[in-house]
Amino acid sequence: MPIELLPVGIFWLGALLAAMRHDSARWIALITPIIAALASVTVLAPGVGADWQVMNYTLAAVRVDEMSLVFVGLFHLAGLLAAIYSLEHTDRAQAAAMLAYVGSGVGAVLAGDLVMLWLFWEMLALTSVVLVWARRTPEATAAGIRYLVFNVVSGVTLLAGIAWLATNGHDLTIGPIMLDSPGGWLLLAAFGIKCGFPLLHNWIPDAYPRASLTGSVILVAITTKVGVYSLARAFAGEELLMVIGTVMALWPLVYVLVEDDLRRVLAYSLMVQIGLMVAGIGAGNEIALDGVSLHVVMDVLFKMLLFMALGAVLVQAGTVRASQLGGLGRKMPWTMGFVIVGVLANSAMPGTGAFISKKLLLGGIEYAGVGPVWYAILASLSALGVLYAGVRVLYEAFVRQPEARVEARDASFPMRLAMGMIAALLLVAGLFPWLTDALRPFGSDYQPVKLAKILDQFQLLLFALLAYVVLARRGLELPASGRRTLLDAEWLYRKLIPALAREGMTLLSKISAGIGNRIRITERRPNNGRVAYSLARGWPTGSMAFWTMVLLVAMLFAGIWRS
Amino acid sequence: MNGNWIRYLVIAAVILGGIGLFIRPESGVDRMPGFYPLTGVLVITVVVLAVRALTRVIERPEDEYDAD
Repeated sequence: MPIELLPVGIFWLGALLAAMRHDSARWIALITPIIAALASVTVLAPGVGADWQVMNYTLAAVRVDEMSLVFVGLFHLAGLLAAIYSLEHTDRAQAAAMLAYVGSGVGAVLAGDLVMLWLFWEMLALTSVVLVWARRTPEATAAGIRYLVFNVVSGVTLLAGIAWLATNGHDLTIGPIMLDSPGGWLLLAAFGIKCGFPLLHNWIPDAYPRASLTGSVILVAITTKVGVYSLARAFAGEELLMVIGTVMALWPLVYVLVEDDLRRVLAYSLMVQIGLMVAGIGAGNEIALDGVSLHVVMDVLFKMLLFMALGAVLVQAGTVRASQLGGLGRKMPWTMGFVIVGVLANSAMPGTGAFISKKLLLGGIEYAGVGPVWYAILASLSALGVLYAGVRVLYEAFVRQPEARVEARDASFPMRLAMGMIAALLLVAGLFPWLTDALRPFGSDYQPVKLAKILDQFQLLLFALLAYVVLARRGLELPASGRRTLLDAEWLYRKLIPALAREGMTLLSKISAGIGNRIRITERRPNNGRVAYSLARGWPTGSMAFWTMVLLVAMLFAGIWRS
Repeated sequence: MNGNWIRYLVIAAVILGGIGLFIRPESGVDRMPGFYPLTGVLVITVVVLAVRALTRVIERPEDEYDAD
């Protein structure tokens, strides 16, 4: 393995040691590998690359540029913050999985070709699912399986795309890919699953809220961001992505505004922000891509902050259901303070780093020539952030009077430390915007911090809040929180497809039984009062054998005919 | 939310809206005065009303997927 993959190697070695550590060595096992990996990043600089000879194939193991360095730094920071946050609430399996997961994320954004990307892509899926299962509830187990299915399908789709490109003589180096071949479309689908494109997104609100404390905090930082990174590498400027991104940002609105589980609200809100990033990738110019990179950083920070705060609420109050919470502000003042910063950032309030990133991103989208209505829709997403983060999370959990008394005390010191560090980073980035210039890999000179832009954002947020207050006073507020299921695209694969499959199997078994009886493949014989078959012990195996034979014969004849 | 808060919100909106008539971006689709106040009010109104209507359509009992 080349020396340039040292950060990844350190994370994986750290994961191995964390899996074997004693509980008293928690600090050392979690923090040390991340610090060591961060130190090893110094071997990386823009332009650095390394190949890896595996059998007769030369893999472009590492290709470093400004953009990959932003993501590498971000993943290290996210790993460090998640490690501090979860010091009191993690176990060996989670610590090991988290380190391996962060290492896989770092490897994915350093990958120089699609094969290396695929290797880390699969590692991401396998390591992250442990963080979902670590919650150790039946719901988490089931959600983890569904999460794994989506992510493995994404990996298989990516591999199929790579295979198509390779067999058709395409270069496998990570770079722009055209949507003029099945290979390109397969790659877009694989990246789309990772980003949570509409209809392919349900693994996000399904698994993230059910993951462990450590899991939900770190999962929001890496998996979807690797998807965004890959999309930006391969499909920047693809106009279709502007449409997909806009739909993606609008799709979850009903859920973020009505869901009872506040961690699920945040999971859906993650889609809103990623939708904006996908639209920015579709715009494809330097301003938009700088905006995407910067917004990825800010989104990871404020989303981690809000997930951390709700994790603290979950530990203290035992629930994150809005209908059962309220009045936590007096009992958890530190946590509420951090949530306020997270809500301000989520709403792109001037003074937070998210204002700069969102204005930069929108500036790039505007530069691409979108119309005023389209621009207004994308710009207004920050106003909607006031509703879902401000009204739902801040107001319903911390401000309003609860229906029943909620017992809680403030978050533990490590939790507050991690949340405080993130809040400080968001505010520093907002108050000293030139510090964020280093996070613009494409070097655009667009200046989002202008008096007119600041004023515009205040106007947008204020008038949106005013409109909601007027609506609420007229009895048209958001529907009350409560225990219920809100149908989403998951209904397709959890209800419709299984029902169709059952119907299909019933029909198929009837057909095969009819054919089998006619040609005497199956023969009913009594067996201790049960019905047995001569070809198999149960009818599904018998019919499967029959249909396999039919298919093989058909393939044989097709082969003979083609030759 | 009590009456005082709404009064403060309205006053702040009037002041900001007034200043916004004079300080505008030099270029771009958002240079029209009133672009952001209008966007904020319209989007929130449409979204809240749409969400209220859609919720009735997609709402199901909590145990909808329990048989999985």
